[in-house]
Amino acid sequence: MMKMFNVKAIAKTVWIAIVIIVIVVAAIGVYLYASQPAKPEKLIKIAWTEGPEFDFIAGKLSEFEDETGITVEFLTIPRAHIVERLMLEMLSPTPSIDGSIVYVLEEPSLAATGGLVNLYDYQPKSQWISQGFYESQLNILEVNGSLYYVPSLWNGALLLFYRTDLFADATLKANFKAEYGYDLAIPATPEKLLDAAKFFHDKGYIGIHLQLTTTEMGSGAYTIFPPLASYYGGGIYNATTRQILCNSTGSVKALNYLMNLTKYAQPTYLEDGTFEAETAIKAGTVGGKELAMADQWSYMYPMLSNASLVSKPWNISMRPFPQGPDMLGVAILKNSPKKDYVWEFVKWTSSAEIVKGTTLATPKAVCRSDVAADPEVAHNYWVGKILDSYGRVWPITPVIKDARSTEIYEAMMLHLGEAFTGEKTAKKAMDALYEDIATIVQY
Amino acid sequence: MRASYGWHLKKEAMFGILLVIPAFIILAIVYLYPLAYNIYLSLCRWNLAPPSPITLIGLENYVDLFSDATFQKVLGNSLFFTAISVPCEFFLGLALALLINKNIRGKNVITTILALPMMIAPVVAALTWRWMYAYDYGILNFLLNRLFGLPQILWMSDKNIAMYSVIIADVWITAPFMTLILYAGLQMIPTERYEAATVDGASTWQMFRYVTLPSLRGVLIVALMVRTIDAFTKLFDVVYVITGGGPVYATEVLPTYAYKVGLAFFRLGAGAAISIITLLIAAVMIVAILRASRGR
Repeated sequence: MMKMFNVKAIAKTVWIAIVIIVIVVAAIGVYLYASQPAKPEKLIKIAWTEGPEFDFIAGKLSEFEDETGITVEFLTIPRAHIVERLMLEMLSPTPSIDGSIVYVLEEPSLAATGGLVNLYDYQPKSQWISQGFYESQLNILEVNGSLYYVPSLWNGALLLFYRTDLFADATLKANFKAEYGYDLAIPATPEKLLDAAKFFHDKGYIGIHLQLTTTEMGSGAYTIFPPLASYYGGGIYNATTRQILCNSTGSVKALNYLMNLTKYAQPTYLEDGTFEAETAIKAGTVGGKELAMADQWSYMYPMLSNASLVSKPWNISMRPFPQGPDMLGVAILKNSPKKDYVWEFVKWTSSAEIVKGTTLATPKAVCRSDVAADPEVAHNYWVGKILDSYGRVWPITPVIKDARSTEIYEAMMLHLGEAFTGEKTAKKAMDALYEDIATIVQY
Repeated sequence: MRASYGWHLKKEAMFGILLVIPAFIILAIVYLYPLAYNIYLSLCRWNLAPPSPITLIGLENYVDLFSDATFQKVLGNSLFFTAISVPCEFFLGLALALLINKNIRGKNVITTILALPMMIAPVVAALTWRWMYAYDYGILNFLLNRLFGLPQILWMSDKNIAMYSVIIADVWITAPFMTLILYAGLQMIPTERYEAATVDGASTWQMFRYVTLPSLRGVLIVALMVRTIDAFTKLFDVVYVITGGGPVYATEVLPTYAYKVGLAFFRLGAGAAISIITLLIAAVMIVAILRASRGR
């Protein structure tokens, strides 16, 4: 067998082949690198996502580039996965991005790594406020006295969507008055919302469409429970005082209230998110039953007047209980060598002109008072409703400002799910959450 | 003479080693190093938020995980999923392979249709199932309710049903793999064996029991091993898209949980420990399958 081969020669050939392959691959790499056109000196890369407000900025970008000489390259990443990408970039000594959009829920974890630039180093808080930024919104975003972004891109508000025909129906109004002792009106408190939802449910409608999915961070149960807990005097976890509040009387009361409300909601409340709410409002029905009210994001308001999209008459009102923040903005990565260029981009995206444009691109909460007062913005019906829902009537419920907030919220979602599915009572579910939070904050 | 023979053996061994070295180097870079690093990480505490230095803590991550009720539930889910989905895929795959092994009309068309789920990216297939499972506008509830007058089912949000919804979708996606492998095995069985069995007066069942199954043994074991490994260690897309692990962790499995702990909670050490546990259990399963197959 061995006589058939010249071992030395074959081995030599194998090794020579390997060396040649390595040299060829390296040569191709060098050639490709060298033949690339020279990159602009002032190039910044921003992790970006999609939506009408982002499209508006992309459409205006050439103005910024012409004015500053800075070239911006957007790396579009699905919003749900930006944090994973960002975390890896912040660990890298040679990051491939210079700035990124950041979501309010993920901010405490990202801030804890020390990888984001404090915007107060560029511009003090007083100057942001004098420019028109709402102090209450800046306070929501501050982590240990530092601000890492302003909510100039997205600032989503939840509103109460209601059927105008049902709320104006004379028979229904008379029945409601007879049963509840007061006039049927658009609910402005949780208690009145419960009455209205029960009333419509008892009359054969789906009382309210709720988004209570427990599997999506930043949506579903997260958007309802913490604000309700806060409304009833409870909470989840106060990172400043290190106080676990989830099994307090107020929080348990909030969960019991929510469990009551689900009795009058669509059967799929536990799996439904924004898309399902949009579908339900458009159809005006769920599972073949007429829908009376829905808890839905403000972006949908313009669709209500489009008869080809929405078949029933709907309108919006202030959410009848507080809400948490839903904020997106651009943060600067500390390990980027082009921090100052990104700062120019942050200044531009938070300017009155751009904030006005993104606000008009899709209804959202305005982050600057001067933009809210701008006649082009102020005349819109939704501006007041959104601002009422988003801090003007009740303060915005702050997020948990702890590095482990994502895990705490995940645990919250799990135990809320236990209560909604009947696995545990509200008290037992919140006691279990207490134990989990106590463990998580020890990591 | 002896010295010359010994030298030849040495040369032969050297030759073999030299040929293996390049493959070994590549394997070491892309497989062994990450595996070793993962094992090392699983013995460390390394949190990114708040950032902590990598600290060797021995088996603490493992002890914490096994005493964690959520992990126990997730482990149970993974075992349940594997125990139900792999046999379903196996029997369905075997039945379909036997069907297309017959000389039926349109065999090529049927084979192509059966292979279709394999050609669709799992995430796309999962998204399609998610739409079909939708309570209000999904086709499954439409069929149940409108055609048969049955109540609509909460396919994705009923904690007692969600896991079966995931299993059905996964079986649909992966049964064709089983079918094709077993079909290839059936094609390799010499027809003489069936002819001999016919001469001996064997019934159809006896031919299946004593000719087909023993002849397929090798292929069956490989197919079962591949699917067991896949079902236990790589089930991600289907769960992530259809249920996101919910409701109440009813469909959370080890791969999605490892991802969550490592990349959403940024506890990389604990995440690595989950992957190592997954790997070890899968290895035990493979050994069990091999032993069981040898025993027969």
